[in-house]
Parts: sequence; C-alpha cells; structure tokens
Amino acid sequence: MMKYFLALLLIFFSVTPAFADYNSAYNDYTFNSQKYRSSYNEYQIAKSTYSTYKTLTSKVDAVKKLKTVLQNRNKVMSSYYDLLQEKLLATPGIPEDSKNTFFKMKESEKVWMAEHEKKIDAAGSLEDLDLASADFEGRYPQMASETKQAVNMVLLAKESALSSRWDILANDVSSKLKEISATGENTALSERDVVSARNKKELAQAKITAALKADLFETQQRLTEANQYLREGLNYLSEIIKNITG
Amino acid sequence: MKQNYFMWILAGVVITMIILVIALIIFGVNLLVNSLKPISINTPAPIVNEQPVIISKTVSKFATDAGVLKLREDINKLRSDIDSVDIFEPQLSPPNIDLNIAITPAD
Repeated sequence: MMKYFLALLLIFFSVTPAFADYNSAYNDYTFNSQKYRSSYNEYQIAKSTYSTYKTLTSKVDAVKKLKTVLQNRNKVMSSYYDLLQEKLLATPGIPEDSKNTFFKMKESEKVWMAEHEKKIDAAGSLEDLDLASADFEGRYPQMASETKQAVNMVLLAKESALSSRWDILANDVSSKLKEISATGENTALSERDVVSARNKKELAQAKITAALKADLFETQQRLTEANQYLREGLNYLSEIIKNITG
Repeated sequence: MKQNYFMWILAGVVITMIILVIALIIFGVNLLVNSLKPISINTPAPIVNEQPVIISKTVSKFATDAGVLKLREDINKLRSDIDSVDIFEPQLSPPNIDLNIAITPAD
C-alpha cells in the first residue's frame, strides 16, 4: 500500500514542476517589469532635472539613474526569454528541434546581454551610457523577431492539437457511417454532411498555414478565424450524430 | 360638560368597533359555509372515436449505440476546448520598453 502511495507522489511531483517553473518565470518577469518601470520613472525625473539645472549633482544623479534603467531593461528582456523558454517546455506538441533552436537563440542573447551589462557597469559618463543604450536599440529587432517566433510556436502548437483532434473525430464519424451503411441504412445525407465538414476543415487549415508566416497580431487573427471554421465543421458532425440517433 | 362630551365619543367608538366585529364574523361564517358546499361540474358527454388513432414513433437502433454516444461526447468536448482555447496569451506579450533611453549631456 505504501509503495503505491509513494509511486503516486512521485508521479504528482514529476508533473507539477513544469507548471511551477512557468509560474516562477512569470513572477520573475513581472517583478523585473515593475522594477524597470519604477527605474524608468526615476530616469525621467533625473533627465528633466539635469536638463533644467545642469548642475554637477544633477549630472551625477542622471548618470546613476540612467545606468539603473539600462540594467533593468536588460533584466526585463532576459526574464522574458526565460518566460518564453518555460512556456515552450510546458506546451505540448512543439517539435523538439524548434524548442532547441529557441534555446540556442536565448543563450546567444544572454551572452550578448552579459557583455552589454559589463559595458553599462564600466560606463562612467552620459555619453558612454548613451552609446550602450544605442547598442541595445540596435540589437532589439533581432530579439523581437526571436521572441515573436517563440510566441507563434506556442499558439500554433495549441491550434495544431485542436486540428488533429478534429481530424480524428471526423475519421471516426466516417467509419461509423460506413458501419451503419453496411446494415442497410441510408446514410447518403450524412455522408454529404461529412464532405461539408471536411470543406470547413480545409478552410481552417488554410488559415493555420497563413498564420505560420504571419506576425503575432496576424497569427492571432488567422487562428481565431481557423477556430471558427473548426466550430462550423463540428456543427456538421454534430448534425450527423443527431441524424443517426434520431 | 367636557366629561359628558368625552363619554359620548368613547361610547360611539366602542359601538362602532362592536358593529365591525359582528360584521366580520358574519362575513367569515358566510365564507366558510360557501367553501364547504360541493362544487357541481357539468360533465360533457363522452366522445366516442369510431376509428382509434395509433401514433407510433420509430426509435433509431443506434440511439443507444455506445460508439455513437462516445462520438457525441467527443464532439461536445472538442467544441468546449475550441471555445476555451486562449489564442492571445496575454502573459506572453512582449515587454513594454523604451528603446530611446538617453540623456544628452549639456554643453
């Protein structure tokens, strides 16, 4: 009895870490975002004070606040990459090589950010910090592209899972109709409904394919449309079952 | 004088109350008597159908087929999952960061 209880505990704790890791990553990301916003507000005040008074004190404070906000901006991006990694790990249906590609990109960005952090730490003047900030600005389009890809992967994996289930269900309905037809019952009307359902599925698939190459916003739009077609296809399958049961 | 006046008013109130109570009792008794009377219903003459109408409904032999019921359940489950899928994943939205962070040194 004890053995079974321990086995159950083992299974339970092996499943929950995936969700715990994602939640932990999300909490880190939220925390770093808040820290960034807070330091950004302080940077704005310091910038305004310095540009108004142009004193040495205000300059020293401006350097300090600018350094802090640049460091926190890096931390936000770093924790965002971690969040996406955990989401990819927690989402079923994403190919391993796609996950590994993202992991490598993440590691590469982390290395870049570590070097960038050293540059920020070493900077002692506003000019040096401005240069460091511009470096981040130059690197950001690459980061944006990589992170959007990761989010797209998550959305497409969820949609693919629904699409696969739909296909299995349609095949099962077709098999059942063949079985019923073999008993001598007329299933012509239901078979036409299967064709109509599959037509809707093709339309859904076209939307999913279009989403593969789209940016994030367009991906969300295409997948919303794909879901609508899947629902309409399900309505036909549902109608077939009603006709069968009478 | 005043005392007589007061006595007359009091007597009037008492008599009015007595009359009201008696009226209520009579009303209540009438209500009770009427409720105990049997209600007569006019029963219509029975309708005799010369030709009985038989209504029969054919029940599909697959209405209780386990495979069909399972399919119906799976369709409903999939529909529910499609309706509840989160296509927007707001937690994964990119961070709102300013790329143009800089302080121009004063001359």
